[in-house]
Amino acid sequence: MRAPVRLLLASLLAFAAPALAQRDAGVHVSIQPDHGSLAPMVSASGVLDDPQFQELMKNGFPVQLHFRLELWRTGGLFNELERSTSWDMFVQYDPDPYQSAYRVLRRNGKLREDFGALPSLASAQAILARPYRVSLAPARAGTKYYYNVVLDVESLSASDLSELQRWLHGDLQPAVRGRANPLSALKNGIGRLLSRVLGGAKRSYEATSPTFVAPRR
Amino acid sequence: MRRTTLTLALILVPLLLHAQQRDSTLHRRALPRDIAQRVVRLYNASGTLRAQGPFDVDSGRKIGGALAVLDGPLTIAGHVAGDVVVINGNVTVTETARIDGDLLVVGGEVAGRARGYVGGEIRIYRDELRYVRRDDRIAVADSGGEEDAWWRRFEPRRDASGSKFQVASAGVYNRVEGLAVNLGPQVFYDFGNGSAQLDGYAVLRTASSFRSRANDVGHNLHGELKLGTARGVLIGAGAYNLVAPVESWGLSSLETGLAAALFRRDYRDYYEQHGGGLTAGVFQGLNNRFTLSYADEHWTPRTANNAWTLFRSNVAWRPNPVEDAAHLHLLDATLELDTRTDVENPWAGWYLMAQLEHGVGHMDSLGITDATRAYPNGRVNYNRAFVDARRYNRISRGAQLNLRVVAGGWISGDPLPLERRLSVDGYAALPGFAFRSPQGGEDVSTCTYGTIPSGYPAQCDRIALAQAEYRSDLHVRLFDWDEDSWLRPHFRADGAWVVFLDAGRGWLVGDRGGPMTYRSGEMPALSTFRSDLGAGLDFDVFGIYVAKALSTAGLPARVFVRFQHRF
Repeated sequence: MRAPVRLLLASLLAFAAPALAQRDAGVHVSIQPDHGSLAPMVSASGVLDDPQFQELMKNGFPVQLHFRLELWRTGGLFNELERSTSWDMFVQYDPDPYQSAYRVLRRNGKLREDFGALPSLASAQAILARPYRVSLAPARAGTKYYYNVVLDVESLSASDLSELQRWLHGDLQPAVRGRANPLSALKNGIGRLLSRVLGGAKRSYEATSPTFVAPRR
Repeated sequence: MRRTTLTLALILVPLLLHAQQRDSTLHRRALPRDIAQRVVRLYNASGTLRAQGPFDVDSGRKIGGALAVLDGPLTIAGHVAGDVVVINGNVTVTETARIDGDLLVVGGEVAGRARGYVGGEIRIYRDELRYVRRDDRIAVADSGGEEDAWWRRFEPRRDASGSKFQVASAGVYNRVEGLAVNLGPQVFYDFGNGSAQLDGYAVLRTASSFRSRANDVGHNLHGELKLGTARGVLIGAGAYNLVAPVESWGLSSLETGLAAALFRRDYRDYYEQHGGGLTAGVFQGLNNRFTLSYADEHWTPRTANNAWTLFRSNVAWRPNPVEDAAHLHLLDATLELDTRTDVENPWAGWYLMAQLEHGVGHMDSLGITDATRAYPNGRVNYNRAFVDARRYNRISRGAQLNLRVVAGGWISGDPLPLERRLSVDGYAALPGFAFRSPQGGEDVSTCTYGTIPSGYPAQCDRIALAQAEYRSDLHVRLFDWDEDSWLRPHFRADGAWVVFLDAGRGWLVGDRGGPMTYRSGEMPALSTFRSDLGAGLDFDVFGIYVAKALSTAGLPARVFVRFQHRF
């Protein structure tokens, strides 16, 4: 192998290792009985341990946690995605030196939940670690299913803040997304590479539940 | 010493007391003021049914208007036709509950929120409302103005329109332009049910724009109007002078740019595209659209420049092939459908990109190709199609089988211009074979025979490529020492191991007899396809793979790195 390639690989491993090695951090999905049915409970632990997220929060950028829960059906040749749902949580650090606090918010469809002022990052993480019941029930009783949850943790950029601001003030419609962006693929790609490989402000986690049989109602 | 201690005590005690006071203040923070005012307004409204203390709405009971409960809790099993406001108390929603309006809770939680029916919005604020009573009504207690500081940061910005001056990369780093930079204004306007955007950029190229003897500055003016947000129609118009890739379906732009900027390896060929066009279409979401476009373009061949690279700067760039010079009117129909569960990490779904192009115009000069091309009076009239279809299949909780077919090329009319010819080559298509290499016998990857034209251009009239890969979860944990170790070197990564198989080739269309030439209705035998087999580790951020040619004996295994999934 040539020297530049070796150098590239070594750099990738050196930079990627800490990025990939968020110790004990992750998203979790479990299934619990709920009024004669089974309900998925989703939680996240340690996802804000990353010093880079903490630094960005201290500089006023909220962290967005985008959850997507998928319900997969087994039994055929391929597993089928039956339904999915998604929701967001935001963690914001209050920069006021006399009121230092974290704020955690959840947005799930018509639900808006403000967990109030929290004295520390640990208490904010405790909110994230609290199992959250999601309404995503199987349609076919007696069929085997499992849940797959994906969590993208990302520091919000200044432009993203406007959408959060609208939501915080009660506007139900999110900001228009998908506006054509003239930035090139190279810039986006390198930005993505740098932010993800070099320990940047985006992390993705994924977990699956055990397979279960949907109960008859 | 005593005096010093006393002085320190006098300084520290107030500080400690202040710190303690700050801490207690922290936990008594009130609601955001605007929310507090909204709650109070709802509570005091004349049509609201007000209650204090524990309150139940029994099953079968109907409240015709709004309901407000102070210092709850509230249990709802019946029907409330208006909004429900609960101040400093919890709410329990049972399966028979029905709330036609909003449910607003401050200083409490909601249990069973998914069981009953809530027609409006559910808003829950854990901070309590600090209020004072005035007869049967309440008012917001003075919060000292502290709360507004946090919320002021999120004042709604009504300026959905605006403009900015862009200085941004304009494309993939390449051997013709180096780094192309867009420089100019962008104006955008959101009008609720759609958006409009106007961009006007000068395109500066680090490899050629700053040479005094050349005036190589491009431009890109583009306007687009979208009617609809989740779905709708779009129209656009543009005028441009850009350096465009001949083929861009292989390696991603990120990977192509990195390979060029770092290692002086450019896996694309380029030509100049100068003209303007109109686009109209429909879209759904971000990834599904059908567009029709018309363009009037002048195509001009470009040569490679000595663009800067981090490594191998003493090695010559691969020449950029001499493409055709032409003036063409192009009509394109493009369909993009995407049902994947995730664009970057799909578990299941379809991705389809299909394009049909009709080109008519005049060939000014021809690039160098092996096969002789004839354009009577220089006129050209051709039809071309291109399809990239992918299917992602999840076969278990941690494994998937993904399939991809890429096919395209000449359909009818005159021979394709060199800018529209194709190849099945490189790490994205057949990684078991070296890029632009005659190794492996007849070069069915680029349809080159005889003397290799400068730059080794893609010359195929048609291509076909099939790819399959099996991916399965991989959990790596190396050197994961004890928690209490002073040093804890560890490498932990969750990724996938991948096994893949590729087969593909290109060919020329014409009368049988010529090299790699088949009639229009024919397809080469599968035994003539190049094929390879490989495996790798994909950590999402990057993947490292090894591929071995199957169809040609004696070729060494090739190791390569990708910065995204193979497809």
